[in-house]
Parts: sequence; structure tokens; C-alpha cells
Amino acid sequence: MQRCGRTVLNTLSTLGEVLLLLGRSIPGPRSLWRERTRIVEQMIIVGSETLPIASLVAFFIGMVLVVQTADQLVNYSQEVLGSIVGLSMTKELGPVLIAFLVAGRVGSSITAQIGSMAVYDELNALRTMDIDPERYLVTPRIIAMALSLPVLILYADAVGILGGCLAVQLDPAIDISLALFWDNLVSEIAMQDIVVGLVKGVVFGVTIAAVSCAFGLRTRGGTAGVASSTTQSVVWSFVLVIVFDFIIVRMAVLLP
Amino acid sequence: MKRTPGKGVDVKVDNVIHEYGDLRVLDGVNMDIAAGETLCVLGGSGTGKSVLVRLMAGLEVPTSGEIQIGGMLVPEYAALPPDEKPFLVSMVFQHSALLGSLTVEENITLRMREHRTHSEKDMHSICEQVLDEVEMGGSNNKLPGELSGGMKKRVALARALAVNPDLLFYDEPTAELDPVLTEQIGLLIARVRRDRPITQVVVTHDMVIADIVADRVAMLGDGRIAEEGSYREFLASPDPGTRSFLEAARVLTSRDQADNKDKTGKDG
Ligand SMILES: Nc1ncnc2c1ncn2[C@@H]1O[C@H](COP(=O)(O)OP(=O)(O)OP(=O)(O)O)[C@@H](O)[C@H]1O
Ligand SMILES: [Mg+2]
Repeated sequence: MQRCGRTVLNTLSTLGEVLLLLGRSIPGPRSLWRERTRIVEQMIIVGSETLPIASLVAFFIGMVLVVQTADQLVNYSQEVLGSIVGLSMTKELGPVLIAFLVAGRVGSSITAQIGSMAVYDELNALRTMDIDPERYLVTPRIIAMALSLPVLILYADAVGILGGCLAVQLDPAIDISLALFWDNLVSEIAMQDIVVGLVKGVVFGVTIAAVSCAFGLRTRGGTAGVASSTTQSVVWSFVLVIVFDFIIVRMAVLLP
Repeated sequence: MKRTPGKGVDVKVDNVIHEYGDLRVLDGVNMDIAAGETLCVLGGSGTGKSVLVRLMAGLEVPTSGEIQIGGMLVPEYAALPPDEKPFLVSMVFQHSALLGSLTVEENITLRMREHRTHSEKDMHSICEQVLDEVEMGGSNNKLPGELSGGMKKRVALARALAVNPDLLFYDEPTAELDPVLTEQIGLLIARVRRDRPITQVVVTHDMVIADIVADRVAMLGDGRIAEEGSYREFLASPDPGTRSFLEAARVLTSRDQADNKDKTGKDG
């Protein structure tokens, strides 16, 4: 009972820490402009870390989605295959897939980097130079993630759908033509579906960046401390991404 | 406010107590450091030397008590905008604390670059000057990862000097260095003392450093300043805590060595 209470308290205080950090690190237009080089640097890191693996995974997910859904639809009509695959990819799989990849590859390395800076007094060195570590390290990462995730998601959507097209073309178990698949896909995906995916991208990006930086900043206790905050930050990113995913989906359903 | 660079400021530590949870690390530290003085704070491992220097540098806030630098409370000083500080404080950290993703020159010019206080040309010439001062000329474009431990320490010192500080803290500037490098760093700190009229506080458990650089030493033990004085006075101190520290540091006065010889003579 007591342990349960402590877990709840710890969870709430971590959430609070992340939120406060986020509140302090959202820049005004002027500091946004000042930080532009570091933001671009960070975006390049996010892109180069994630693009190769995202291409591979999105492509295969697209193919799997087609093959799997087609199999489920055998007794109905495979004509709706295009819309099912297209909508799953743009609204759900693209955003979550990219968020998990970014949390695993970029988020973890942000925590490890800031964590070791905390442990080796590099953050204190910044403070003695009157440089606020939050402005210097956190702000560019949050902005960079908020900007890059939507782009990565669009890319993953496209690659996934491409993989799906390939599967439609090559898999003998699929009866419909590529043209029919494509027509159905294009006719059913509305702008709104893509926008929901992009909104998710911004929210997930900010979440992963804030969580990863917060766990990095609070790191204590040498290399062991860095290792433990890195694992914790990835777990927290995954959980929060899924929770926000649900919240956004629920809200999007309410939209006209 | 226009600052007169590198003139030295005094430090007053007034009854500082610092606790982590139930652990009382500092238990009423009092210390006066005069402007322009180089003070060595000595003490065994875990006596709270790093904590004391972090408090003086404003990186942590004491549980109770006050610290003034240049007649200003540390939190007041820290709250001033960077370009309104009447004097500057720098620090050299135990693990050098260079930013790994920046080159030596970028590390050294970081404060000036971030606060846009100098032109590119000035920053470059200041960088050249401080690198020469620590005998690391020509390493501008190296990354910290390419430097040895001793070289990193020198660059860290160069970075601290680049802002032209009035007060310079060192936390274990020779940690993890062999005796030869230790002496070299000691000589560099002594050179800073000679060439710049600034206040330096050197926290160390290394007697070699204290011997080379200190105008005065203070011994930290049991959370207080147990002993203060010149290096010579310190070596001759009758205080049991100081004696055991000296013994551990194997720095024995010639009389002690003579005593030892007598003993071995008797044994043999
Ligand atoms: N952030 C902290 N949280 C909890 N305890 C701490 C913290 N920092 C220091 N301590 C404790 O304070 C005491 C003094 O630590 P400090 O690092 O100042 O020692 P030191 O004199 O610098 O030793 P060394 O010569 O090994 O560097 C130690 O017992 C340490 O465990
Ligand atoms: Mg220490």
C-alpha cells in the first residue's frame, strides 16, 4: 500500500518535472531566432539517425498491413483494402512507428548525452559561464523534434503506402488491381486524416524531447546513473506517446 | 556597469552549514579570503571540499549561512544579467568539464560567443593568448576527446581564464594526474597568481599544489575550517587532524623525516 502510494507520487512528480521543464523551455520568437543554428543541427541529427531505419520499417509495415488485411478480407471484399491500409498508415502506424523509433534512437541518446554532461559537471561549467543549460541544450532539442517528427511521419506514410502498393502488385493472394487499390486509398484519405497524423507528430516530438531532456538533467551518480536514466527515459517516452496517442484519437473523433 | 577586468575580489564565508538529507557535510564554515589572494583549501576525501566550492560558486545554495563575493551575496550576484556583472567568476572542474561536442577554441570562447560580448577577431586573439598561457598553443581545432587528461586540464584552465575572471575556483585541478603533470599544473596556477591580480581558491588534497601555489592554506575537517595559516605553519601544526592528514599525504617536514630516520636507526 505504502509502496503503491510512493509509486504514484514518483510518477506525478516526474510528470510535473517534465511539464515544468517544457514550460521553461518553450522559446519566444527572439530566442527561437537566436537558437536557429542549434535547432537545425539537432534536426539533422534526428533525421540522419532515424531515416534509414524508418524507411526499412515503414516499407515492411506497409507490406505486412496489405498482406494481413487482405487475408482478413478474403470472405468480404478486398476493394476496401486501399482505404484501410492508407488510413491505418497515416493516422496511426506512421506517427507511432516514428515516435517509437525516435524515442529509441534519438531520445535515448539525448538522455545519455545530457546525463553524462550532468555527471561530469559540464552543466555546472555552463552555469558558471552564465549559460542556462535549459536554454542551451533543451530548447533547441524540443523545437527540432517538434519540427522533424511531422516530416518524418509524412515520409513514413509515403514509404509505407509504397510498400503496400508493392505487396498488392506482387502477392498472388490479392485479387484487386493496383489501380483499384490506389483509387480507393486516395478517395478515402481526407486532408484531416493526414493533419491528425501531423498533430500527433508535433505532440510526440515535444513529449519525447521534454522527457529525454528532463531525465538527462536529473541524472546523478556516475555512469551507472546515466544508464539508468536512459532506460527510464525511453520507457517514459513510450508510455506517454501511447497515452497522448489515445487522447488525440479520442479528440479527433469528436471533431466534425 | 563597466567592469574593470581581472582585479580580484574578496570572499567571505559566514557560518555556512550544508546538509544533504540527514548528512551534515558542512557544519559552520567561516572563512575570509582577501582580494588577490590564492588560498588552498585542503582536506581528506569526502570532507566537503567540492561542496564548499560549489556553494561559493553559486552552483548550490547552503542550508544556512551566507557567502559574499566582492561585497555581494552569491545569489544576488548570480541573479544579475550576464552583461551587468561588476566582476566575473570562473571555475576549473575536477573532470575538466569541457563540452565534448565543441572544439578547444569553441570551448574557450563559449561564454563570449553566447553572450556576444566580443567580435570574432577578439575572441580568436583571446583564445590564442590563453592557450599560450597554458602552453597549449596550436590545439584550437582539436576536440576534447583527442586530448590527454593533462591537456584537458590545461584547456579547462584556459577556458576559465578566457573570461578574464576576478575570482577563480579550482576543484581538484590535479585529480587523476601523475606527479609530473601535477607539478606542471601547479606551476601554471602559480603563474596565474604572479601575472594576474585575481583571487584564486584552490580546493585540493594535494600537498604539492599547496606548496607551489598557496599564499595561505585552510584545512577543512569535520565540516569546519580546522586550521588556517601559511603553508609552513600548516606543516608544523600540532593539531591531530592536520597531522593525520599530513601523514596520509606523506608530506613530512624535514624534522619528521629526521625522526623517522632515528626510528629506523633504532630498529636496525
Ligand atoms: N549532491 C549530493 N547529494 C548527496 N550527498 C552529497 C552530494 N554531494 C556531496 N555529497 C556528500 O557530501 C560529502 C562531501 O562530498 P565532497 O564531494 O564535497 O567531498 P570532497 O571533499 O570534495 O572529496 P574528494 O576529495 O573525494 O573530491 C560526501 O559524503 C558526499 O557523499
Ligand atoms: Mg571533490
